[in-house]
Amino acid sequence: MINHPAFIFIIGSLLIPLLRGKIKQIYILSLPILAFFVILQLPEGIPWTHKFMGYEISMRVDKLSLCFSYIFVIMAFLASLFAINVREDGQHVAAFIYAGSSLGVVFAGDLISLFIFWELMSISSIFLILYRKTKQAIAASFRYLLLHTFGGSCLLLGICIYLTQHPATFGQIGLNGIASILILIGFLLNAAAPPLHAWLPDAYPESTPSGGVFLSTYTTKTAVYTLIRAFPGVEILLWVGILMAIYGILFAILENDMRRILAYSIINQVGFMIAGIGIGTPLALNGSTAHAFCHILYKGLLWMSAGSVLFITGLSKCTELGGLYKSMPLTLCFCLIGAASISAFPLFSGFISKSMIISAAAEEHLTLAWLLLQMASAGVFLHAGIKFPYFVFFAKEKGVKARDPPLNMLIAMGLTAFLCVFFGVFPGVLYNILPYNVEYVPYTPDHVISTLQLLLFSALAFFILLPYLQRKDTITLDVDWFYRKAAPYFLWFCEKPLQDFATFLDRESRRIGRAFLWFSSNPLNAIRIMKSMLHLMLVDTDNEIEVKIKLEKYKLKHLKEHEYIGISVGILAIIIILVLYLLTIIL
Amino acid sequence: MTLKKTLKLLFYLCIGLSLLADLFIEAEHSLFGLDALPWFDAIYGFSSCVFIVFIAKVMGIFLQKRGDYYD
Repeated sequence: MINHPAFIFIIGSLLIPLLRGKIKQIYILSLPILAFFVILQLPEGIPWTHKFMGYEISMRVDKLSLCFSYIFVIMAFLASLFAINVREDGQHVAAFIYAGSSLGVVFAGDLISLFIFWELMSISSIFLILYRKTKQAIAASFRYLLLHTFGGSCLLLGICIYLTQHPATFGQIGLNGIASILILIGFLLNAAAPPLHAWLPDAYPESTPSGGVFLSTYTTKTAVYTLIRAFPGVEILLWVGILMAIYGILFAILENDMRRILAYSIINQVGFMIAGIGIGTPLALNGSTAHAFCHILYKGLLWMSAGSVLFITGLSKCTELGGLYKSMPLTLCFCLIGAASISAFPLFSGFISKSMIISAAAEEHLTLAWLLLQMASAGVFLHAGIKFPYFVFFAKEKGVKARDPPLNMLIAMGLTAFLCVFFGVFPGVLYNILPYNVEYVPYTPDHVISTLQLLLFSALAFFILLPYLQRKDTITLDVDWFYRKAAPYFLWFCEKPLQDFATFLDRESRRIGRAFLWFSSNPLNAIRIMKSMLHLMLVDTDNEIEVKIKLEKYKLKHLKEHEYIGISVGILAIIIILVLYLLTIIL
Repeated sequence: MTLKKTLKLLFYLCIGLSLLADLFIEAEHSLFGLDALPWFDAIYGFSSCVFIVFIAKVMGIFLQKRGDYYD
């Protein structure tokens, strides 16, 4: 167990509050390096198993889990470097427990430890939002917690049902039966697939400047890992992925907050990965893995540059920002490298990974899927590639005072930017660690030129459509409207009209009950009373007073004296009831 | 201002070059014929963006609210 990289982070993080100053910073940076060397030493296979409640708990090391673990650890180092000056120890601890439990998920060989690490991830990640300490952040983190509890419950229920028929090993599950559907819902919620996605654009933009870098790395990508492992080639995922890719773009175009644009762009990018999983061929699965790898780097870079802007200016709305290119030139430079990577420009990392997924769609002759993915690729450049840098660093000068962020942030961004270009120029380094052995050449003349055309003409469209893309201080309603706005109305509906109706039903049924009681306590007399009352109401008689006196007499004796009806009447009544009962059954 | 103009010129130059280069490159594979034609990606990229912005604008009519909507 000692050589499990997850525990290096989780246990190692607990020492952080005991250290001070430079030693603490060196310690924080050395943990990911240590974990990286431990991962390099891991033998492929199943290093250890353990019996737990009759189930086999195990750790599994194969090419898929290794590939994800490399990038998780690399990003843990880069994000920690970015966050090294954060004062609160709690943020460092939460970030490392979060990163460590993601590694736990990636190396989990069974569903039980997978679930435990899965929940640990969602709990630890909340603190990266809570530490922002604003009212909005606290509210958003509660909504985040509720949604993830729902997802976790689906997953747990699915696992429980699954375990009744299968061993606990975490492998290919495939879509068959209720258990697999519940597990899929649990995974898709963490992958932020609509309509289970609203927690992401709700909570991530409220996180601390450095917390966003961690958040953008782990939750959605562990979900991609679990989907590659459990549901490769499940066709519905292709369409879920395409929906995500386009959904993310549409909302990102409408957004005003720069970090919200990036949050929707995560949904868009994860959409490409999930579409790849839906295609399910070795090339497509390699593409999804490679895209997750590259995405973590360039999206981390974009979150770092947005985090730097937020850290320095305290602003994150496009309407408040603009013209920062003079005061934050280095940040702009790194941001543009991230933007070029996410847009999949040749020589940047996005190009060598996304093209695998799109080529896989072409190889399988999925024409519609191919067209939609190409459309989404054009849209990525529109929102993340140009819109984000344009409105933050160029556009109108807003007179915001700014400067480039501290050295550690610049070095972190510089290293990440270097890796984005490195993998774009030397794709073989990444292709060698992918799970399947598939020959793929990204740099063909046709491919490079068609990508360039697609992107350049998207840029042209952006500048032509610029008047329609100007931002106002607005937010865009998403699915979270249902639990943020509609839920209070629903509660009001429950408390007022529904409650009134319930009280009415309650009162009336009790009255009917009481009437029956009154009748059955002395049926003969009751009939007499009713007869006299009917008489008074309907018949105009002279002896009205006489009848009234009679009625009073009946009323007085109603509950005091009991009269007994003859047995024959009783039997007759029973027969009538029986016949009615039989009639209702027959009818 | 001159910088802006130079950048613009460069941009159009890139567009022109990419269009020119496409005429000399054989398409590797074709899904439905049209996509093998030169300039398909340019036209498709441009029209996709116009389409996406149009759809987003229509959605915005219904979904965009003031920044303090939830407060």
